[in-house]
Amino acid sequence: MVVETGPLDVRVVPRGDALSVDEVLSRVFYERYSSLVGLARLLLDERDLAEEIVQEAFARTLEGWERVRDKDDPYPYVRRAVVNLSRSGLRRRLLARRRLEAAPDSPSADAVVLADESRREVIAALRELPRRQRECVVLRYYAECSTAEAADVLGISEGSVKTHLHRALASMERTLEGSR
Amino acid sequence: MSFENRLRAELRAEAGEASANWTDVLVTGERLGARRRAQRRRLAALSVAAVIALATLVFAVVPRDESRRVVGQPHGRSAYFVTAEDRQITLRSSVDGSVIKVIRGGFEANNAQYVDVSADGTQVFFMRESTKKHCRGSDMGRAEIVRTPLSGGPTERIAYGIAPIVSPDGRSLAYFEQYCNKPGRTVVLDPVRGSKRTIHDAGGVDRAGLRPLSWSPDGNKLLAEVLPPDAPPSGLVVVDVSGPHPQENYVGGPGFSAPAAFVTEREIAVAMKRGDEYAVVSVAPMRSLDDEKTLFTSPTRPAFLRADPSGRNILIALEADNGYDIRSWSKRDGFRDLGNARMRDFAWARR
Repeated sequence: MVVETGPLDVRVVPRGDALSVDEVLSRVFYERYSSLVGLARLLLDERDLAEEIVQEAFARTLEGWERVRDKDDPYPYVRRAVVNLSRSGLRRRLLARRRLEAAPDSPSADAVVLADESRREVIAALRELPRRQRECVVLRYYAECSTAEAADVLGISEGSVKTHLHRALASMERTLEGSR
Repeated sequence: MSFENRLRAELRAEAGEASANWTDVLVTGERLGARRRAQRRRLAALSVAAVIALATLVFAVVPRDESRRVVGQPHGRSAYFVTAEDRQITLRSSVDGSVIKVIRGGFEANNAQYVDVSADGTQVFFMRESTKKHCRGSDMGRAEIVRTPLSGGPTERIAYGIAPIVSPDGRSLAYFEQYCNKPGRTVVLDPVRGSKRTIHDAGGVDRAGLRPLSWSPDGNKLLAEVLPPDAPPSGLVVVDVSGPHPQENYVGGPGFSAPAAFVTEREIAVAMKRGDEYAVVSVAPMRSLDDEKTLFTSPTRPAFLRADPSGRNILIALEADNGYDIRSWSKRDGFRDLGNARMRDFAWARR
């Protein structure tokens, strides 16, 4: 069967007519939003804050566009912003605000999500890690960053990333074995 | 399944899925931008406040360089006076006449004459004669009125003319301007705004002009010497400049040996010859010489007299073989010897 197609809808972008900041960043947003929220969720103890932090990271990238080194691919910049915001004072302020706003008897979102026992153990072991080790694990095994990329995001050397990863995995394995 | 693969799977499951609208980011960006702008405004306001506080602290704490700013009026008298000499202005102590500082900047031209000091004590106004020949058939250079910081620095020409006298409030400068041999005029200049007001125009009258000598302490009257068209004798005129139309009051004729004259609080003081000595007397304007009151006498001729803004402290230049002997006099303290100088004029340095 031959399917006839109409003329291809190709929008020709004139040479030298670059995409706007809004277009570039919104494309990254729709492609990467979910994974960035996941990254923030794993770095934060309060998972509901993750979406706010990712949106804030995009908003800051938009505002500080002149500071983005690679204008064609701003994802590494946004990812670093997410990591930084997750650990920054903003997180503490948002947490405090959340605690004030939360109803005392509302059910915990964690309780619903962590139904699976195996996952609960892994996440519990992850949360027992020191902050830097936890960041390395999440970037490496969730965000699928290479050690070089993780080092760039965290602003540390690649060797340090490897060391943190090695210690983190050993620590998690010990924790998980102990919990059996 | 290796631990690393298990970790990957569990982390993905834990992270879950999420969706959002780009518009939410734009709204967040707007909110963030507004917050940033407010922060910047607060920072700017704080910076201004900090600068003001720092400046206040510096002015309050850091001792000032006395040579940069003339301060202090011990016994109601300025601590310093300036003399216009050969190619220099000299700042001297009014205690013993010793030289505090010599200002030589900007004297490529001829000698300095007719000196006065700004009300805040930071600027010296004086006349200097340009080395350029100005009028046909005359070797005279053009008379410039210039000012220079007492702390030293560039000299700035502000007008062409002679005999600059700063008003007590420091806002006006009276002087006489004349182009070559044409009739001149006496003007009051606002050096800041650059506005000029003519208070006497010599055109078409029998006087060559009025040379300013002294301001009254209230700044409403100007004592001026009548410059005759030919040779002396001259006379004295008080010009009331408080109103829109200057009023002239002729004080007296050759009996007043101007420029040894000044305005006191209510009266005019002039030097007169009396027998073998000279007397500096005060008289009420428009009254006869019979109403005179002797302030002090001198065996030699007072060539220049200059009162401070209060009109109570007088600088006296007495003719001597090597220039002038300088003295100060006040009713309370009497005479004080301030040494000798080869000078052309002097003035109290004011606060």
